Amino acid sequence: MRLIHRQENGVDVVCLPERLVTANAGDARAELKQIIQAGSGRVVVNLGDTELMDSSGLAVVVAGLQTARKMAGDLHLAEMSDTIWALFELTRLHRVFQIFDDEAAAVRAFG
Amino acid sequence: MSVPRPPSDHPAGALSGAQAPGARKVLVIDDAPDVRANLRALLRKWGFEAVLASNGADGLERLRQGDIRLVICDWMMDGMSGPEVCRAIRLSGFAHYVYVMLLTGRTEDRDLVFGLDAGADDFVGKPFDVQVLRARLQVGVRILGLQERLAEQNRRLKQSHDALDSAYQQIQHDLAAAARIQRESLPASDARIAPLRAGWLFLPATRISGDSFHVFPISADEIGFYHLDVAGHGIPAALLSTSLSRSLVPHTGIAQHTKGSREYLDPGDLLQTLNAALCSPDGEVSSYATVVYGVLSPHTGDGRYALAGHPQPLLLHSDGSVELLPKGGLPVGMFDTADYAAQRFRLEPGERIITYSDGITDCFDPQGRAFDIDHLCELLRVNRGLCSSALAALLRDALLAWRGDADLEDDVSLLIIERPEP
Repeated sequence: MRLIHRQENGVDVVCLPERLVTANAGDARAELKQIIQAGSGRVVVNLGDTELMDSSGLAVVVAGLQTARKMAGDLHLAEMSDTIWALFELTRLHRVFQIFDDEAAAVRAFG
Repeated sequence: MSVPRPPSDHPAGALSGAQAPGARKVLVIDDAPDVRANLRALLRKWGFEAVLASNGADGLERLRQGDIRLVICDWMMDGMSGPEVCRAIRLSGFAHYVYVMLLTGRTEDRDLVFGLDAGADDFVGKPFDVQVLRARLQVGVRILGLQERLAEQNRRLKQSHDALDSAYQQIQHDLAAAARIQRESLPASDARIAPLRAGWLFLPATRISGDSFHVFPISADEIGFYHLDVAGHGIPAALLSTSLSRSLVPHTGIAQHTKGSREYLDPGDLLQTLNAALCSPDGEVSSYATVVYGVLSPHTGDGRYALAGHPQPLLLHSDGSVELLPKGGLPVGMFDTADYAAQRFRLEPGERIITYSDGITDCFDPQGRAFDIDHLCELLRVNRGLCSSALAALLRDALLAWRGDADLEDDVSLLIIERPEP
């Protein structure tokens, strides 16, 4: 898998795939970690393309957040669908992440 | 019978490459002694061992010893003809392929077709040209070598297929055993929690499940219950699910040794302990689970529970209304700083508390519609007159009907605990 990734004002912006499930979660997790560790630790994960995320997919963004915070950075989420929001709400993870409606706001929030 | 031309002075041993066992032996079937002698001399010169037979029946008899793979056979003979010998060879079902060259003066197409149909592989004209015979023998040796390599590959493929097959059988057997063990960690009956009653449904997406639940006595005054859903499916999830189940039931868990059985009376503390045990030391999530754990007094109906990222338990009131109990904390195994506070609830006579995994509400029909919580609550409301086990059975059927022919994508489980009217 190749995650779509670019940098904007020193922030790594990463898009996750359409389906983030057990089958590809391991690869996505390793790649996201690599991107974060190569950067500043300030990350925006755009979930605009992601339609399906299961419990393994959830672990990918949690691990990303943990990697970023270890670098004194943070991981912001942007553009998640209602279905994925429901998953974050159910697991109470919506209180752990900073979640934004659009990517630009998520990038700007890093100042 | 024409007499072949005398052998040329070609150097001996030029024919090599007879890798296939038996390809160095050539059976000559000819009723003319001079042809046999001539062929024997040529074959020896080319490095073959010649075996001679003066008629088809003797030749076939010799072939049955199984050490000869190449045959040069005359067409016109007393007794069996060359094509008859070919047909007999093809019908005998030798373990190895036998390559047959017919010696013939016939050159008509229909004769060749007749010979090929009988099972001949090649023809050598009579009187034969020594170099042509030598070249055609080489073709036979090459084809036998090829055939032997194919047979060897097939043997190896079959060996690895057999090995895979037996490994697969072993895995299937182990999975069946694991599924059995897992089912044993589910409640067997609700007799142990009397006067409370219970019903449940359990549908693993694969043979074994990351879901687990139980209801069990903790003390004379209180029963405990849990429902957990380990992230992922299949074997890794099932292993963790089984080990977590053990730590949530008194007398089998690790918590008992560290904090005593009182640990099981405080749902918040218990989840805190579970979370600490599951969080990986490097601070990066590896395995996690959503859990609800609760205790309940059968006599007073007073209960408390703690929630870790799990769907909120439902209270089914006597009037059919369904109440979602308050939300809780994060899944266990993600953040070691997570906090789990117990919350109180009360089960009046005739009421039920229901815990479930999100495999129920996220079960999709063929049109992609989720079963969803409203549907679940409606079914509970309408069918609340049923006993808990019948209610669980009804939900099971409703869910399978909703899913249609497709396999379940996620483990499905639901637990109903009922405080009957006195």
